[in-house]
Amino acid sequence: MKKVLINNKFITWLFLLPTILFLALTAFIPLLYSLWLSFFNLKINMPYLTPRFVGLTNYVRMFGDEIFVRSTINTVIFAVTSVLFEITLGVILAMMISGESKRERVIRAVLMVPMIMAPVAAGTMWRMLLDSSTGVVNYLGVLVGLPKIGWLGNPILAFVSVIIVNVWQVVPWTAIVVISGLKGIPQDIIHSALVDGASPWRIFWKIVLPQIKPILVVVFLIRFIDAFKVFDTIYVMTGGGPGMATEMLPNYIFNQGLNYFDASYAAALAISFIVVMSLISSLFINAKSRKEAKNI
Amino acid sequence: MKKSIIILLCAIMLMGLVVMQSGSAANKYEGKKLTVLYMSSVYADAAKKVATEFKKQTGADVEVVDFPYVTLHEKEVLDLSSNTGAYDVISVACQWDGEMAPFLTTLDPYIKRDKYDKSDIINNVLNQAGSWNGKITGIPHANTPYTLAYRTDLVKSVPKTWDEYLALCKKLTDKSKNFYGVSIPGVKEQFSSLFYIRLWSMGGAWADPNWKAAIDSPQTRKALIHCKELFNYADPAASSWGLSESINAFLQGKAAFCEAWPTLGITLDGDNPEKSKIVGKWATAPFPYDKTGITNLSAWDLSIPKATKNKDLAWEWIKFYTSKENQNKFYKDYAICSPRKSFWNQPEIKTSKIASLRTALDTAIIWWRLPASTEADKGLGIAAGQYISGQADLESTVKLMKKTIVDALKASPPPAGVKNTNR
Repeated sequence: MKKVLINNKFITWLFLLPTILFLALTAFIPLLYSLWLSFFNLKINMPYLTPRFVGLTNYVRMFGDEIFVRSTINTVIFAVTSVLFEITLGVILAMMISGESKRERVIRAVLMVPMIMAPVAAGTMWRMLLDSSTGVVNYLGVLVGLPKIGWLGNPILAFVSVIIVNVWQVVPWTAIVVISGLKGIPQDIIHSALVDGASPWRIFWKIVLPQIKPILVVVFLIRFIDAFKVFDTIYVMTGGGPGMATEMLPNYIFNQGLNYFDASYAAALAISFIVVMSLISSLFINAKSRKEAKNI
Repeated sequence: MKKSIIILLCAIMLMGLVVMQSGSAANKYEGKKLTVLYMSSVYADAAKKVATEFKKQTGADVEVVDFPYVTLHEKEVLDLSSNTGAYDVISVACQWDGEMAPFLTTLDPYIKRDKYDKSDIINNVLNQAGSWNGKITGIPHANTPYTLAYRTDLVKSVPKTWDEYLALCKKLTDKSKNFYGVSIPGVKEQFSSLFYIRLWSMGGAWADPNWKAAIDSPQTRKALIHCKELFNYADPAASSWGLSESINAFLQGKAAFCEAWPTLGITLDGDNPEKSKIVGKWATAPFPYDKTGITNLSAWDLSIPKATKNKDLAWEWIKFYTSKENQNKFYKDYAICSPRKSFWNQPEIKTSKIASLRTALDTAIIWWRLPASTEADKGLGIAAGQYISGQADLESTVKLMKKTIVDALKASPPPAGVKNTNR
């Protein structure tokens, strides 16, 4: 019996080994190297400078770095706002197109288009649409009597624009995930509620929403982490401007690493980013697990 | 008779040897491939056009690779620092000279060996582009000073001071007709140059000759205030415009002045009725002189990475691309301004619309040419953008600018013995 157990364990590890090796090569080793790098002073474009150990200097530097602080605040606001809109609109859309009629299936297929567009392509398209002189959005606005709006030139509007583009791209995905949750709701409960005279709003609030809550929590977590990683849309639409209005953390880390070639500082920023995101994810997962344990 | 036959045979043999020799010189690089890297622009287009001619002359195939400016720096530094040798010749923007010099081949031995006439290159341009720390690492192939383009039918006399310029922009702006005093590229990586021109001509600088930050100055404040005022006379969309949008607005007749690199659109298309509505109604002029008359220089030089295995062939390409014949051809076909003195001395150039650029080439400067220059430039652009878009007041903007300069120099200290000879 013991031999069988040992055999099983060995085979399990054998099957896991390729994945572990792959992760080690592509994730763990680069991560450890970045961590090591963050304690040194290394500039890729200055080969005559010998890298030297600087301890926590790179980490301390972050707190005095105005652009880092601003990009972090921007990223948090962007993530929270985007995700709230994505989930709200995603649920509304899901409720509207969750049926099985031909029309609803066609709408679902059409709505997939933003989702499957590359973020760079979406950002470029929207940049052209929102150009205040030649963009279609302002053209249509002027036709109905609105003034021309400087979407990407005004700091607040530029921020709103990048949120709109992000939400536009992600809402279809959220809707699709929520639809799968809606289809899992037993129809008997809904019919009983209808028979008892419950209004549609009451049915949604008291039956549907609690039923899809676990899915929404997962969607929130995934989207929140993804929103923090926004890069392509910002890069092509605004470049972080005007000023620092739309400067996001990933763009800032990119600048440090691949424009200024300050590999050590970029590594420190990236490690801090990973640590914070891991903490947020852990908090979420712990809260979810505790709630599930309570329900049981 | 016998003697004549012998002489004839010798002559034939000699001729045969000469033909063989010239044939082998022309095909010395037969079967070889040269990869050259340029910015996506007229410079790359020109390279693609002459690649066939180069192959006829040397036998080598030429692959022209190009990337937009925003990604070119990253691509070049990554390739050079990792010694891939993927490119045999790279076009280097002069502000990257010092940063890339450690990875580039010194060209002085080639210049000496082939007696390349570098005295024909405008001295100031060669000092700003291609020369670094007493060595030549690149041969300049294109240059343009930042100048004004203006409408000759609306502007009778080019303003001599910045205040006159602003006043004229204000006078000519008519928002009801969608016409503005000036067309400007407002994205931060372009707009920063417009701030520098004002700062330098007003007598300001980023740092003193010993690299001590000098940006916290009355000139900086004056330049920033001027820049902010300028946006009142530009299309509201200008703050998100790049070069092509701002040039196009001018060519479509929507502005009286245009602040843009003239060779990247205006000199080429200004008199082309298919692309311009201001045919025959434009000219270029220097920016207002103020205290120094210094403007921003854009110059590119061709360099050979140390890692390439085709150094000799790369040098042949550099000589070919920067030859007088090709430089004249590039101007004719693409309006690329040559850094050669002989180019500017030609009668047709002296009487052309670009003649006014020549004087500026003797004094125009790039900002720094160190590894710190990219970070400083971007940081100053961000700070200026903050102020102009109303996100920060003047004092906090100047404070941020000073911190940017100090931090950039701390992160990437200048090489020992190198002084700040620019601004």
